Amino acid sequence: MDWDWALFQLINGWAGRWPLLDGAMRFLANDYGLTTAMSLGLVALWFEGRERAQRERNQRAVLMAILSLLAANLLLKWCNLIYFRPRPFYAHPVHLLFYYPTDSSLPSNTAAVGFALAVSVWLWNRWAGLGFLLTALLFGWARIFCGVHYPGDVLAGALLGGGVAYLAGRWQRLLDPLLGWVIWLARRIYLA
Amino acid sequence: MLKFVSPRLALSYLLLCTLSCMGVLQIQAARQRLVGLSLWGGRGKSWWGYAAGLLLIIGSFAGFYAFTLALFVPGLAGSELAALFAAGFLLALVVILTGASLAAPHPEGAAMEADKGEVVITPQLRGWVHVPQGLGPFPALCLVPEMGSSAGDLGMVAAQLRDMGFVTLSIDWMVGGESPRYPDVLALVPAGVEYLLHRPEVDKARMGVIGFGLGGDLALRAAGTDEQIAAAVAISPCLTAEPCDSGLDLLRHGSFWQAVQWRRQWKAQSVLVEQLNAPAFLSRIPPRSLLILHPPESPPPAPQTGVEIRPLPATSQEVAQVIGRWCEEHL
Repeated sequence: MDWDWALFQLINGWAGRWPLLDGAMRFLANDYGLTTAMSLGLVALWFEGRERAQRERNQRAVLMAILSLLAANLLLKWCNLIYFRPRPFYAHPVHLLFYYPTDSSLPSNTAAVGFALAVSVWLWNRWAGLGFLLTALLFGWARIFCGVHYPGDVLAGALLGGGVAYLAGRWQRLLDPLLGWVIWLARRIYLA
Repeated sequence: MLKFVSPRLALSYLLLCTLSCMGVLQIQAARQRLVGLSLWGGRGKSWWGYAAGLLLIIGSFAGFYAFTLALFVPGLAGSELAALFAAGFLLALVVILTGASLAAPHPEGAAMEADKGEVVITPQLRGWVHVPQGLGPFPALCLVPEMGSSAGDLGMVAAQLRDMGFVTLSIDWMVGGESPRYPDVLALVPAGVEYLLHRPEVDKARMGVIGFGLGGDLALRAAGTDEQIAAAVAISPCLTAEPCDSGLDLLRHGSFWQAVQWRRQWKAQSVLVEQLNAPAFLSRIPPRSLLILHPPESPPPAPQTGVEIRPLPATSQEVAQVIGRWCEEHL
């Protein structure tokens, strides 16, 4: 895929020029920073809202995000079983600012997770969803910058995660009893 | 699968999750005014919550990145990160709920410091009376506390009203060691009113009744049936058998453990609320002589014409001031 490699070079070409930018991108691309930030965002969203109805909407967003995350992970496992794409650093000389991951490059796990959360939240709360969406975009960009993913991997991950979340949102009526039961249970212990 | 090949990294990440979740909970406690989730007591200066929350989040991330050397080598798997985050969140929740229970203002503590006044014990009632200095006659107020709390808990409010020139009698729900049941409970306020009317320093034409929570329902019921009562104030009355607040909203008023206790009491209270049926007596109270103070988040279910409704102030001192000023105008 020529376009993928060309786009990769355009983004990864900035790596190794300024230590400060490299440091910032390593900070964003590592496994802990933005994943934890997004999880903290879900915790904050659970308690957000003065009115009960508004809060319940946000809590449904959080539960749908968790369910979408589980579904996206299952789909990722299946994709990794049937298809393997080597990481960019195996086939080309790249500026690698990261360790050498051994799993398939396509689809990007982080993009799938990030976009699954972002689209789930977006369907219920536009402002919070926008925040999650920007974080997911930044996460994907940082991974390409650090040399561990092609842009196509991130795009595939985003489509997979976002698609799962969108479909879950469309079929949310089927999940309503489960969501209602979890919120009811949390209300019983004064946490919803 | 959960393998945790690097236990040190797993523990560092657990600490990051716990501290940063505590930070998020502090910010949300400040934003949503959730006393039951705040480590600084929850009332007043909410910037404490924002500052503490931001400090916990930034500090935990800075500490994690500064002391974790194995950040850019293969470490924790996605499922391990999720499990550790969930564990960290639960740990943070336990720490916050316990810490907030210790930090939350305890009404009995305040009552211990307050001036309880002169003890009154008769076969019909038990309470505390506060009399202003001077010759009088003074307007009088009969105070009914929340069901389950003691008349002594109203010591601070009663002392403040005494300083504003009112004779106050705070009556106890417990008479002879037992909490009265319906219809015996209907005799509580009339007994208090009778006691006050027989005191020489009381102006018999200027008698008011003030109730808190379910005590507010009792005060409304008494004001609707007793013509000697010229004015009534109900603070967060129940009015319906549905709890005004439930779930997370209860943590706006107190700690998690207090919410558990309220919930236990509520079952017994809801029966009494239905039996008292205070809303049916609202129309019998003369216009312009009834004030209801209610939390802004949960207005009373059916406000009626002639009933003055105001938002409930945040502190008991402010509540006493509002009641005192209103009673000076209406008694």
